[in-house]
Amino acid sequence: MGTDEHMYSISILREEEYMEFVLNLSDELTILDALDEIRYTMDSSLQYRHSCHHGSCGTCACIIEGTQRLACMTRLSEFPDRKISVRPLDSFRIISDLVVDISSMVQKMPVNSYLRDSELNTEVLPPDGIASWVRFENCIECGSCISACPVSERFLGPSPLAAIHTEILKRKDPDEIRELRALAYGETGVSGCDKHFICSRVCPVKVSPGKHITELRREQ
Amino acid sequence: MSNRLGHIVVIGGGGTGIATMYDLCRRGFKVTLIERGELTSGTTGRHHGQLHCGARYAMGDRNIARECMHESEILRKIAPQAIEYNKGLFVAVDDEDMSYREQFIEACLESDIPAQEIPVPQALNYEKALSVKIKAAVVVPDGTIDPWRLVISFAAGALETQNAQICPYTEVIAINTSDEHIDSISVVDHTNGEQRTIDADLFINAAGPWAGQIAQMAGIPLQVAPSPGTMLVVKGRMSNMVVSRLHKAGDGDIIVPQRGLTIIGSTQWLSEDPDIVRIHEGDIPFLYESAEAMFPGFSEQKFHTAWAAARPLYGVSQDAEDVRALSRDFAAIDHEIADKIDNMVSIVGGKATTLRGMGEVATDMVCKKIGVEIPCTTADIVLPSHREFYKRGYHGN
Ligand SMILES: Cc1cc2nc3c(=O)[nH]c(=O)nc-3n(C[C@H](O)[C@H](O)[C@H](O)COP(=O)(O)OP(=O)(O)OC[C@H]3O[C@@H](n4cnc5c(N)ncnc54)[C@H](O)[C@@H]3O)c2cc1C
Ligand code: SF4
Ligand code: FES
Repeated sequence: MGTDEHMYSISILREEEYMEFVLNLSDELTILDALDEIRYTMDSSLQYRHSCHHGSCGTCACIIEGTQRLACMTRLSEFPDRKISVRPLDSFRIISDLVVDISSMVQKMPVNSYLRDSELNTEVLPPDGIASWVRFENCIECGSCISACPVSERFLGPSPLAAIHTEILKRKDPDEIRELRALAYGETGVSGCDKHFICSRVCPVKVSPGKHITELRREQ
Repeated sequence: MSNRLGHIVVIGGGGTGIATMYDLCRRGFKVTLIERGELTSGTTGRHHGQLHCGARYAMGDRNIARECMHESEILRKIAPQAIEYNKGLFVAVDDEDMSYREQFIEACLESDIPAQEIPVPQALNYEKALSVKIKAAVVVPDGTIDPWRLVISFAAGALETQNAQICPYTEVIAINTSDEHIDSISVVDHTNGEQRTIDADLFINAAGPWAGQIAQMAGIPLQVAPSPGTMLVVKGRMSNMVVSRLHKAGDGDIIVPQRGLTIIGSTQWLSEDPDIVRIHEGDIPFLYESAEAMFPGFSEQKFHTAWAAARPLYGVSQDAEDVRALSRDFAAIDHEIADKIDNMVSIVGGKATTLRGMGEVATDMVCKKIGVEIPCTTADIVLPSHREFYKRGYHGN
């Protein structure tokens, strides 16, 4: 697209040290586009996670200029001095470069619970063959909240607690609810939260995990 | 890593490669999957997100339409958590669309797609964002896919069999052949920079728009044209159903809602390099305008982003003129017959919706090649949740 191009300095934390890449990029590109450009034209060994390129899969979260962001939804034009540092998320095991292993987070989330009722047009019956209008959950499991949360020890973390809360609200079976509540109010549950609420601030899709934790506390 | 049936390497960790790995593992093969980036970081992660029931293709090719219908039904059954199943609407906007309506419905029904015309007021009641000017509406069993989570469920299913080894961030850099046979592939593991060779009894090329490049490494000419398209997303979910324009399949005629977003696509051109595909100039205004015909008010929603990805079109040369006329069907190629390389199969083309079917066809071909008969079971087994992919730690390691 025909917008302005400028020289950008992108510094990427690789193992222990930042490596600087200086390249000409169009201002309206994203950090993910910049990473692609570096990988394909300068250094094919650069590794980062990505899949959807539109803020839906959650794989591309990293720390851009000190804040947890989705690389695919962060535009170069947000950084007028054209110097941008990128490093992997905190609190996860680093596999290589910007690639982290998010399994420690997802393992704490309930399985088989990724759909919910759509909030759109609920008063209208859907066509035959559909019980209710549905949609995916908001949480894209990006790990930003976990990375930003200052509590690291013995705490399930923001997004697993938000997922557990959503699940409690969806379930009907008292036994299942009891199990989920045991997790939420167990040793690593809501009591661990220090109420910093940075989780809600960094969440790219407004899950507001902090609010879920507050609500869980209220429903105890 | 080998057993009685042998060890198979699958190259490419998109929907096609992962569904092929899953089927092979279910039938008892040991499989190593090689993907140069994150899983689905090629075209698969970046598609439009439409679960195609086939209605879009019914006028062009009944077989493709029928296959989409069949596969979309199976996916709804085996991966319900990765699909927003709210069905789809085809809407006629002008007289030309109207003249197309009857043939369209007929073509759908002939392709086993239960297309049903509904009164316009009912369509407007289903979807409030629809233009009040629409002249006709047909309900079809389309839906929305979460591309990453659908495919990760297949990967979780493969890991569950304990027959799969997944190697992300590992790039194939050479294919080592002798006497019309592939001995091994050379790969570089980008997580530590180390090079190694991997041998196997059979190699499957599932590299999507890169499949031509992979075949080239084995000295095989394979015509796969990377054919990119642009998609535009606005914030706010404008509909529950997928909404398509009732006319000859073209550009800018599908609106796919997903979570709290609404996506319009797509466009189509041919490129040489699937690595970096940038949005074509003019695509975004075009997509806004196309969306407005179905959803007036689309342009007033807040811009979210736009992106592009390359389709793997099989059997196309770079100078093809009318790209839209090209087949969306897929091909499984046994290179023993075609190119005298006795242990390589390519599986290319198709759609994200047909991933399981492509895996089945590729695995059938492998079984036939080695002379065993093992039935496919992937249509009948419900896949694990995508979250179970993480059960065994990083990519199952
Ligand atoms: C604009 C657009 C919109 C679309 N919309 C839809 C839709 O709504 N619904 C639908 O069903 N389909 C849709 N499709 C089609 C669908 O996305 C593709 O058919 C499908 O994703 C192809 O999957 P694949 O696994 O064959 O290829 P890919 O996903 O591209 O997988 C190939 C993999 O091979 C890897 N690779 C390449 N080279 C190497 C190497 N040297 N070593 C190791 N690995 C390598 C790549 O990194 C890549 O991950 C759309 C396509 C496009 C372009
Ligand atoms: S709650 Fe938000 S920040 Fe946390 S993992 Fe989910 S999407 Fe990411
Ligand atoms: S690549 Fe999917 S959220 Fe960024």
